[in-house]
Amino acid sequence: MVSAVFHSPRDSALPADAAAPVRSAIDAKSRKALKQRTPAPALPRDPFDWRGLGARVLPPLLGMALLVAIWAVLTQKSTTFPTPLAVFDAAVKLFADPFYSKGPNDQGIGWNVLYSLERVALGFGLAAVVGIPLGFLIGRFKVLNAAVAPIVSLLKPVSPLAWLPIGLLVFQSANPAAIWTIFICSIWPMVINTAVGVQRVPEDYLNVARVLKLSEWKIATRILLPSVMPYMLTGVRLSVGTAWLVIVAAEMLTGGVGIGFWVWDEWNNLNVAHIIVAIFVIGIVGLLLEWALLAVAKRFDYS
Amino acid sequence: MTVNATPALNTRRTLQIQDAGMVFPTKRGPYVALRDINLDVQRGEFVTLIGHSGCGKSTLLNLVAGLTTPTSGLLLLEERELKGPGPDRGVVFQNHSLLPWLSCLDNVLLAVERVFGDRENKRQLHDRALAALELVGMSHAVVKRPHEISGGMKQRVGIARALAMEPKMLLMDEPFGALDALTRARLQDELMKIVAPAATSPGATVLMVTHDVDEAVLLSDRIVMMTNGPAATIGEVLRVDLPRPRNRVELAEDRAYVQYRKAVIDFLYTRHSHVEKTA
Amino acid sequence: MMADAVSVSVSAPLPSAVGKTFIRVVEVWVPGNDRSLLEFSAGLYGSASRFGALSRQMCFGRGEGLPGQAWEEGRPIVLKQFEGSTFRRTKAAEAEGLTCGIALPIFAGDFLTAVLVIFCGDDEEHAGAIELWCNDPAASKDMTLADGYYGSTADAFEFISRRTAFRKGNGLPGMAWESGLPVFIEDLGKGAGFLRADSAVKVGINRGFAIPCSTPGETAHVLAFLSALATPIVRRFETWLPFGQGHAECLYRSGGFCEATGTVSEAGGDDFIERGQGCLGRAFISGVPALGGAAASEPGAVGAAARTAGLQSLVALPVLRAGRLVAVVAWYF
Repeated sequence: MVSAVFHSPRDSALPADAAAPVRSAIDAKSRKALKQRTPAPALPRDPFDWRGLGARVLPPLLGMALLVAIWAVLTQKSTTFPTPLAVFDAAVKLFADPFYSKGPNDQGIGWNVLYSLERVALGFGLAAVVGIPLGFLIGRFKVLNAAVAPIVSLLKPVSPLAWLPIGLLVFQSANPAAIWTIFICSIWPMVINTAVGVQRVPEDYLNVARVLKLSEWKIATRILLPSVMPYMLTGVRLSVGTAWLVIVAAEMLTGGVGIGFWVWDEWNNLNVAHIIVAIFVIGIVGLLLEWALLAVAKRFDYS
Repeated sequence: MTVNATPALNTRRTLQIQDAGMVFPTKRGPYVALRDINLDVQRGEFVTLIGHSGCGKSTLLNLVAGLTTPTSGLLLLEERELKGPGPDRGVVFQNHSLLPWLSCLDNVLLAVERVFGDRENKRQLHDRALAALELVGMSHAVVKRPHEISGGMKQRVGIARALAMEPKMLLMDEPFGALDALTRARLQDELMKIVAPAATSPGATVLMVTHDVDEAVLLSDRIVMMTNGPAATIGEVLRVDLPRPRNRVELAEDRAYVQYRKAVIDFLYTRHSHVEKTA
Repeated sequence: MMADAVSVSVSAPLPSAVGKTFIRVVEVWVPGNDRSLLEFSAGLYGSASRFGALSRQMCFGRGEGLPGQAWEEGRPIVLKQFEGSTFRRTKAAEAEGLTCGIALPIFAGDFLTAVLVIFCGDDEEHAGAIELWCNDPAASKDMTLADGYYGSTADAFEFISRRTAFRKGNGLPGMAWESGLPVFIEDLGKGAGFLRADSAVKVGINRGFAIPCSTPGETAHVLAFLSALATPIVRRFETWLPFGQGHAECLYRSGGFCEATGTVSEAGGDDFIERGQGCLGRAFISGVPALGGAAASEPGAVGAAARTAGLQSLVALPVLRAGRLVAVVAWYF
C-alpha cells in the first residue's frame, strides 16, 4: 500500500517530528490518503471530438472539392462542357421550382424523379411479390431448385435493355414496358438471395424446430422467415440498385416522363449543364435509397 | 409423491435402449457408427456418455432425441417406442440454439406454447416461461436478446427452454463444452441443483454427453464409457456412489472421487492406446 | 470325456525360492465312481505339506466344504473367510498362512468333471487380486463383480471393480466372456496407482488373465487373476488350443507369457502335444485338470520351456464350452 501514502497538500500539516507513535501516524497518513483517493477523481468531461468529426467528414469533402477543382480546370476554356459554376447556376434555377407542370412532357425535376421512383416501386414491388416466394420454394425443395436453377443462370446475365423491346411488343406502351424491364432485372437477386437464405438456415434452428415438433406453418413463420430476412434484404438492396439503374436507361429509350427521359430530352436540347445536374440527382436518389434499405437491414440484424 | 399401485420393475425405467445400432450410408460405403447399444436409464438418474471424439456418443444422443432413427434395434421411452423427436425429451444443444430474433422469454415461450398452448391461456404460459427462467437464474434478462447476453447465460436459457416443457428426460449434448472453465464450473453446480430431487418432485432424468472426465464424475450417477469408433459400443459402465449434494471443492481431495476419476481416465487414455493380447 | 478318478498325489514344491507367487496351493477334486462324493485327485502344496497331508484324506459331498459348494451351486466360489463357513480345513489353512480359497468347477454341460481348488497366501509384499465376474443374460448385458479377493492390498481396485460393469468384449473379463477362451493381458493399462491409502509405493496392477468357467445354466462366469509386476500369480502362462477340424487329435500352443522370458509366441512347426501326452495331454482327453510336479520332464515344448525358465510345477487346466473342450491353459510355477 506504499503507493497510497503520498503527500497531498493536507498531509503537509502533520508535524515533522511525530515520532510516537510512528506506526499509527503512518497509518493515519495512509488512511487519509486513501480517503482522499477513494472517491475516484472525477474524469474530466470528454471534450467534443473535433478530431473524429474531422476524420470522418474532411476526406470526402476534400475528395469532392478536388473533383470540382479538376473539373473547373478542365472546362475553363471549354465551349461545350459547362464549368462547375455554370452547373451550379442551372441547378439553382431548377430547384427553385422543382414541381412545376407545364404539360405532359414538361414537368419539374421533382416530378420527374417521382415518376421514375413510382415506376421503380411498381416493377420492384412486383419482383418482390413474385421473386421472394419463388426463392423460398426453390430453397426449401431441392427438386424445384434443380428445375429452376438453369433458367435463372441463363437469364440472369442478360442486359436489362435487351428485355425492353419484348416489353414494348407485349405491352404496346412505354410505361408498362419500363416496369416490365425493372421487374425482370430486379427479380434475380431477390430469388437467388432468398433461396440461399433458406438453404443457409442454420441446422441448429431446424433442430430446435424438430425437437419442439413445430408445425410447418410455425416453422415457416417463426424460424424460416426471420432467419432468411437478412438474406432477403440483401437481395432487395441489390435489386433496388439495379432497378434505379435500369429505369434511367429504359426511360431514355421510351420517353414520356421520368428522370431518364428528362436526361435524353436535355441532351436533345444540348443542355449539358442540366444533364450533369441530372447525374447528380440520380446519384443522390440512388444513394438515399441504398441508405434507407441499409437502415432497414440493420433493424433486422441480430448479431 | 403418488404411490404406484403396481410398481412393476419396468415403470422405473425411463429409457430403454435395446440392441441399437446406427449405420450411415456414405459415398465410400456404409459407415457403422454404433453397434449393440444396450442401456437402461432409471427415473431420476443422471447418466453421462463419455468417450473420445468419433465414438458416436452424439449419434447415440441423437437417437434418443429422435433426430435420427436407428438402423437396428429399439428405443423405448417409458415403455413406448420412440418415433421421432418430441417435447417429451428436452434437448440442450452445445450451441444453445436460441433464436436470435426472439427475446429470452420468447425463446422459452416458443417451447411452452408448443407443449401447453392448447390447454392454458396466455397468462399461464407466460408464467411458466418466467418460472423456468427464474429457475436458471435468468429473471433479470427476460427481455434481452441472445446477442446481448454472454455464452453462459445463453446456455442457461437453453436449459430453461428444455425444462419448461416438463420433459420426461433431459438430453444434453456437451452443453458446457463451448464455455470457459469458470463459467462451466458454475453452470455444473447450478445444473446439479436444478435436477436434484425436491420435496415435490423426483429428480430429473438426465442423459448427458461429455468428454470432460471431471464433469462426468461430479455430475453423474453412472458413467457410460464408450469404445472408439467406428462401430463404437458401450465398453464399461461405472457407478458413481458419491453422496449428494456434491461439493467440488471437498471432492477434490476425496479418495473415492480420485479413484473414480482415475478409473475413467484409465479407460480413456491408458487402455485406449496399448495392444491387448488374447488367446 | 470320461473322468477317470486318477489319483495322482504330487508333493513337489511350488517354488518359493525366486520370489513368491500369489497362488500357494493347487488341488484337483474329482467325483467318485458313484458320483456322490468328491475325491482327492492331485495337489501341489509347496511348503504347505501338512495341509496337503490332511487334504489327501478328505472327501466332500455335494454342498460340503469348498469344492462341494462349487459343485452344488454350479459356479466358482471365492472364499475369503474360512471361519464360520462350510470350509472344513480352517485350522490347517490358517496354520500355513493360507487366506483365500477359490473353487473352480468344470462342467461339461450339466456333468461335473472336476473341481480345481486354489489357495492363496496373503502377503504384505503381494499385490494382486482374484475376481469372479458374472453376467445373467436374462437380467442385463453387464458383467459385474460377484466376488473378489484383494489381499491386504489393492483396496482401491476393489472399490472401482465393485462399481464397474463390463460389456461383452471389453476389459479382461469381457474379453474372456466374449471369446469363451482364456485371455492373458500383459499390460492392462490401468495406470500406476497407490494400492493402499497409506502406502508410499506406487504399483501398477497391470498383468492379468481371465478364465471363462463353464457352468450349467445361462449365467456366464469369468475368473480373473490380476497381479502387479513384482508379484506374479503364476510364473508362466500358456494357452493351448485343439488343432484340426472335427475330432481334434492334438494341441498347439497359441501364445502366453513368461515372467522370465516375456511374451510366448505361437508355436510353429510340429510342436504339438498329443492326446494323453503329459499333463496337458491328460487334461485334453479327460477334461480333468492335471498337475505335474516335475515340469522339466514333461514332453515337448512344455518340458523345454520349464527347463529354460527353471520352472518346476505345472497345472494343466481344461477350458470347456458347451460341453466341448476349447482350450487347455498351462500354469507353471
